[in-house]
Amino acid sequence: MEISKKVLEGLETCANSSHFSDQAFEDLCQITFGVIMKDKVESDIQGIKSLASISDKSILKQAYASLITFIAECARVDASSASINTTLEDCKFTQERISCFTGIYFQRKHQIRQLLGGISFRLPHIVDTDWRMDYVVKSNSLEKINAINYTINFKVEDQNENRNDVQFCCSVEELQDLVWKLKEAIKAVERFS
Amino acid sequence: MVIEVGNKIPSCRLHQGNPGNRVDIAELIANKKAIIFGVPGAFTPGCHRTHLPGYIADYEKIMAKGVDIIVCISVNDAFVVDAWGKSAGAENKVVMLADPAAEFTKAIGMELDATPVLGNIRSKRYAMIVSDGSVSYLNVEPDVFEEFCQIACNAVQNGLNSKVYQVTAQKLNVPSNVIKNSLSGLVHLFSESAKLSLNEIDFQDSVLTIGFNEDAKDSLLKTYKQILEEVRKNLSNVSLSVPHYRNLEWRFDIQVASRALRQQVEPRMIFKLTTMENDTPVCKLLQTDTNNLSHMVSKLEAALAEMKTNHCRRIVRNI
Repeated sequence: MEISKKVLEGLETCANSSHFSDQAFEDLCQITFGVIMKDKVESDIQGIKSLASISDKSILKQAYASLITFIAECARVDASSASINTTLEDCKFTQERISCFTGIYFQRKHQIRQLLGGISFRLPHIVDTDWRMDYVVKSNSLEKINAINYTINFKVEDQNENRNDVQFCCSVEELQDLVWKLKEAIKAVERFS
Repeated sequence: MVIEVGNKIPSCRLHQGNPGNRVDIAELIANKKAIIFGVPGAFTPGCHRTHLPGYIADYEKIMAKGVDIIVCISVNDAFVVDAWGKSAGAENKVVMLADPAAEFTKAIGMELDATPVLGNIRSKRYAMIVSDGSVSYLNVEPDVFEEFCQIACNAVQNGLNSKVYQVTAQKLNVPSNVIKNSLSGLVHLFSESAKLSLNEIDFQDSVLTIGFNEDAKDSLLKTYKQILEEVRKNLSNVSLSVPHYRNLEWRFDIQVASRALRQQVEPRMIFKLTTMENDTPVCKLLQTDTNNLSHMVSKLEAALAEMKTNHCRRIVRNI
């Protein structure tokens, strides 16, 4: 877990009862987690009575920023409760505040990790498959074709969630080849798990 | 019955010099090593300019190789053949024999229907080496019409080539326009028939109205059968092309970490899908997770299963 000095200082500010009462601390935690989870917005901080009453806004900012960084870092490395405890104790957190924090943290951890997982880049991702079966009768250059033709469409989403479908056609044998290869792939997955 | 290597030369009386002088070909070449060559017609361009003179010019060389006698046979009257031999300088070199009723020629299966050009049945152009009465080597010139069919065959695949017109026009002593038109006609016949996928009977029926003779019809049919498959394949490549599946490679990965998240275990299937678009292969890299993969497979299997339903079978059968 890599935590910079600034963040540690900020955490100490959080721990300080003279700046943040217990209630204020709890509210700060809730709202910070909410912002990470995207169900609250930073401007909501103004709405909370206990936080609005803090006169020195720079302290509020510092505390909020370091708390958010800390949460993200813990989720990133999947910190154990032992290491979280140690770090917070080093920042002069009381046991109460530690348990308040870790309570909410472990509750939300899984979701936060999912969010982080989505941040990296990835290849266009197939999300769905459509198919169509046609019977080809003739064309302008060739008559009496009389063949079955499949058109397959893969719904593909790229990183920015833009749709970018891949469409192609194939004959019966080619479709069988494709399905066989996909089944091989599935078998490899099953063997692994 | 067409003569083959190993067969014996049949006994047959040919005319030499005049109709009264009969020579039996089998007796003539008995116990000798002989070259017998047949020509379509005395004084005709190819025979007169190249074929006979060729043997006369190389007479010494041929004799040096152990040949005892060279015989030239043509379906003409004896006087014509004799005059031809004299005019070409064949005396004491090539024995000129006439087969006026094409008796010998038919006996060895070398008859050629030259009615349009020369007025009757003649001999194909052939050459054979005969040792002790049986054929040890045989070479027959392919029928001009068959050659035309072959040229048309190539033309259907590779396009018409004006050089070919010149060469053929010279050989046959016909203006190159005529060659061009006849080749275009043949090419059109073959490509239309292939496009409509005519079976043998339909093809023969269509050819019937044009008025070819029997041999020509057979050559046409033979060539048609030869190129049908290829032409259909080429035509299908020409028609509009949608990206067409070529290959799929897959790789099963497990993502263990990224910059934003450590300690992951995320199974991932990576695909390289190759499609042919306008004759160029296009590779696309795609990925999917295990759930989507099984979903894909079940959907595509359902697609394949559709083929076996009654509805589909009925359509395939009835169209």
